[in-house]
Amino acid sequence: MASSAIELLLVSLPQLAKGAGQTLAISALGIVFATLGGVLYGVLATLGKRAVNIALQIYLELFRAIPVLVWLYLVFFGLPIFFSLSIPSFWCAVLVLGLWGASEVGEVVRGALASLPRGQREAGLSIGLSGLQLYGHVLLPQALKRMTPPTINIYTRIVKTSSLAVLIGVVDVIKAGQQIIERTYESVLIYGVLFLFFFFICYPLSAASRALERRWAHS
Amino acid sequence: MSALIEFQGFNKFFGEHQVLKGVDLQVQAGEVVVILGPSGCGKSTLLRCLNGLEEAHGGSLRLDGQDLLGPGTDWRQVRQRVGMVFQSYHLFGHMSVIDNLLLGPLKVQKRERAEAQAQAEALLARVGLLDKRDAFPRQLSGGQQQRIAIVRSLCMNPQVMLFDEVTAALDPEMVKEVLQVIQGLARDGMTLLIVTHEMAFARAVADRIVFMEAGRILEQSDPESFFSQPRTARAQQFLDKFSFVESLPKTLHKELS
Repeated sequence: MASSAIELLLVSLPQLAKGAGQTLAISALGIVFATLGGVLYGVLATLGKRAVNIALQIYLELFRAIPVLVWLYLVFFGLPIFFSLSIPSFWCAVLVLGLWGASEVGEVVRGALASLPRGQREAGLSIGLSGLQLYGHVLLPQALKRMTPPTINIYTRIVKTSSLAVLIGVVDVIKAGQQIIERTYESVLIYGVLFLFFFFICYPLSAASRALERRWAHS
Repeated sequence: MSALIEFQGFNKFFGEHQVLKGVDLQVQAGEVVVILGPSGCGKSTLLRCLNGLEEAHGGSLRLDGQDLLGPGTDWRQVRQRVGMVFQSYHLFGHMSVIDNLLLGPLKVQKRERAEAQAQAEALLARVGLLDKRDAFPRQLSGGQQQRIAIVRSLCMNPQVMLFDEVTAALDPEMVKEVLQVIQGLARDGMTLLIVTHEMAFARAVADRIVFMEAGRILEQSDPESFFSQPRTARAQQFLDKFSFVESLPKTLHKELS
């Protein structure tokens, strides 16, 4: 039994690895877009411009109120119908995860920026910094400590949520696992591997988040 | 000679509430003007309008002859000429003292690091904090932070310095070290606009006292006449409040101290 299990794993490894590659690629790109978009969102949301805030609020509520799965279907099936625009399922997943993640990260960045004393902004302006310099040198570096732990937590959610991409046809690590199970009926073994896969990606992330939090608490 | 700073019929609103009502104030180069008045009289707002942290709503404001309320005003450029020090210091907490001081000179003024650093260190030495060069703000006392904040403004080589109740958040024993720095600047002939509640300091440092209430300037005079014989009843009443503690009967004085 044990030897046959190892045999099965060895045989399945290339297929699982390929799926894992898809999962990691979608997650990594989603995280990059979520981070860039989130920082942009946070900066825009703290400019104090009413029209901008209303637009951001609508964006945020759309991603809070509508499940990621519905967004995936909407983009994957909707874009070709309404805009004659067909995007490969891989990029649909990246786009939706990125936009969803950006709304989540954006709220964290906004909160971190808003929690800085108002005087930091004024002191920066009063030595003549431009808006970009103010955010780049004064506000974002100080907000970084407050926003990093919750942002890393969002990263783990992006990794986990990437598994929904199966439903628009991406062969990610879970789909690869299911294909192997269909062939071999070794569900416990394969799901065990998937369990470990996600655990060993997400656990280091949250450990890193805690370590950073500890280190910054003393500096 | 025209004044360095010139407010004329200057108005400012917070929503419906008018906080500055037709303020006329002229400050000559090299003059030290102390603005006194009860809380909420608009004195801090007046300073904040001068470097564009608050928007003006009417009247005119000139700096060195240049109209600041026109649409073409480059506030980034104005702010380099008008240094501001705040009540709560607002040093940048993630930067060492020297980085706090060099941010403006290097990023805004694009000066040479060696030259800017030499100036920053000379000014640090002058306020007695050269040994704190690499410290972080949280490692410093309030008085030390405030002296650094003053140096941070001075490093931009401003024409005018604005002090907005800079000792109000300090423990009494640290007030002196900050006031001494400001007095040194006054002695050097720097143009200063100071909002404070330190009456003895105001009397010692000011060339002119401006007394404000409810968004208006009620009177302006030299410090000796203002403190000995204020012209308005309101100013007299204001000064009485400050001399109250000093003139308490001895027993009460003891209880308070």
